[in-house]
Amino acid sequence: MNVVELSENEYAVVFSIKNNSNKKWHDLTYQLIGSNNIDEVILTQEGDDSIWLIQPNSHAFLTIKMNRKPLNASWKLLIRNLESS
Amino acid sequence: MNNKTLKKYMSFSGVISTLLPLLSIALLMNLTGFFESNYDEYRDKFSIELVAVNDIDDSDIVTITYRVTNNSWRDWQWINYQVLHKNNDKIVYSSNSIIPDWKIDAGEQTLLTVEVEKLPNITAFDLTVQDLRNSIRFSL
Repeated sequence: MNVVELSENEYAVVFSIKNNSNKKWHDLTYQLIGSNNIDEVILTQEGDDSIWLIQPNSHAFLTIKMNRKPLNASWKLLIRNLESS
Repeated sequence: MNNKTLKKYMSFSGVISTLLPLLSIALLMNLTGFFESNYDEYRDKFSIELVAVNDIDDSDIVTITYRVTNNSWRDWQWINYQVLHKNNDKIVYSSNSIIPDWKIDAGEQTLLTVEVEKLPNITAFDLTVQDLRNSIRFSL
């Protein structure tokens, strides 16, 4: 996972996601959770991505943009739903 | 109905009765996706080479052209791709997109031009084909 500053007041978190199944997954719904250095949740952000997909037994990256500077934060991505085919 | 007409009719109905089951089977196979193929099984048949990066000063967009080689025996269309924006070896951004009209024939090379957001300090753009569609689905 990388946190990057894209421009002034625009940041992004980049996750690497691995698919160890034999199915293709797509239509992702997720929740991004940001915590501070004492594990308090300071930000949650819901999202979905109908273009993103991941082939079986492969990995892909997912970038989530934020309009807030992620100071002293750790990030967790919860995958809420995926469609398979 | 004379004998000649009757023979013609019998011959025609014979052809129809032979073809009808075959057409029905083909239709069923088509509806169940039998003729479709899965890009995942052909991923290693593709190669991608960077051709050009067009970074115009006043633009918020970078235009990148890749040469895609299809070493499979199938024609493909409708590309879903991911571009990784790198600063040296660090991945700082990824973007996904679809070009529905893009096509590549079996055993051919073709160019793929994509547009991505311009970000600071990007040194490389790596493109990965995430999915392609191959279909010889017949339409009635």
